[in-house]
Amino acid sequence: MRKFIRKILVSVLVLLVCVASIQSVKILFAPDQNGSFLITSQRVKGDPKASVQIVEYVDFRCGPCGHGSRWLKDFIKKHPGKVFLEVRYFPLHLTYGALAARFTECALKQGMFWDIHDALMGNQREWFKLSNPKSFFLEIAEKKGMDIVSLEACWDNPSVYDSIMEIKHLGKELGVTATPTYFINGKMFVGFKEMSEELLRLLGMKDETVQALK
Amino acid sequence: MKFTIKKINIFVVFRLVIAVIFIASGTEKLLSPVENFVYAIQSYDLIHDPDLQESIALLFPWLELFAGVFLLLGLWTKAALIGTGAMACGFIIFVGQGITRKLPLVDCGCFGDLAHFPISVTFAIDWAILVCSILLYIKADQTKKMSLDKNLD
Repeated sequence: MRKFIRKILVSVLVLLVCVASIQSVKILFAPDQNGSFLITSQRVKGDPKASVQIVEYVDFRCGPCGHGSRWLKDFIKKHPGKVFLEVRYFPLHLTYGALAARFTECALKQGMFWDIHDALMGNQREWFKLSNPKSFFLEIAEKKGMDIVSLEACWDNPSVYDSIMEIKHLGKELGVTATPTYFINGKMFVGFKEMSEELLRLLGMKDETVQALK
Repeated sequence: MKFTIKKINIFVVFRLVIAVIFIASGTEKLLSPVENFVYAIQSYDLIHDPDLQESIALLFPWLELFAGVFLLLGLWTKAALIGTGAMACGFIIFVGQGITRKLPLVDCGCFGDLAHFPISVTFAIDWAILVCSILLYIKADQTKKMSLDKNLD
């Protein structure tokens, strides 16, 4: 009996140590979120004074990201002034996911971020299985009337890649591991379904398109 | 003291390997925002109640961690092995139905951002954990070497 009680006490001690360790690490390494949700980039859309501020972490190769982006694009178009959106890069695929991010970042420098963003998200099926989508990207850029020489110089510039990785690193610090991840007024939601439900809840709306898209 | 390869107890090694897998998996999930694991659960399209999804996402990583730590220390070894075996069964059901239904599962969501395995590899690992857990349970006398159970029982 004494042995059994001793074993129970040891077990309780082990459980307490586990819980204390996890909680301590969580407290010690909690991300400093001050300023992380301040929208300062130019990858934005909507009314800056809108009551709903969304920060969206995406990988251009990820299907659900395309799904969410297309839905948000329609939503913002249908409900102007309700939402302010910022896109942040989180390339999971460090070759072509990052290349797509570099492409859009370079488009931003030519004032064409949303044209290229929408073209990539809207036509994911056409390029995400290509072994090297660079020529497809160049085709889009030409169609959209971008300066190709500047574009190629830009996406070969290591500082562009570094700035994308810096954005990804900030996302990681906030706990982003999967895409799409959204922060709606600072609260984290992973996946399109969670985001759309929260957005409609905040705005007191019912939207059949959410059901249709699920 | 001479330490030769013959003296390595393979059952203890397996016990420690399973323990480390569960500790790593549980810890990663506990230190990440719970939303990430909720998303992983949702992607298997098996549990649809949001409250249940969140409850599982909150509780399950603790079970993984406790089972792993108990196995590592060799404390309640047989119970911990029942735990790891039962969890492996759960993983096999989740992943197996995902493969059968051809769900677009890119990653199992088992280790969060710590490690990414293709879904077929995950399925094989789950089976290996289940088989090892059963084997270690059957050979409990061997498995309990270098354990707290040895000292406390």
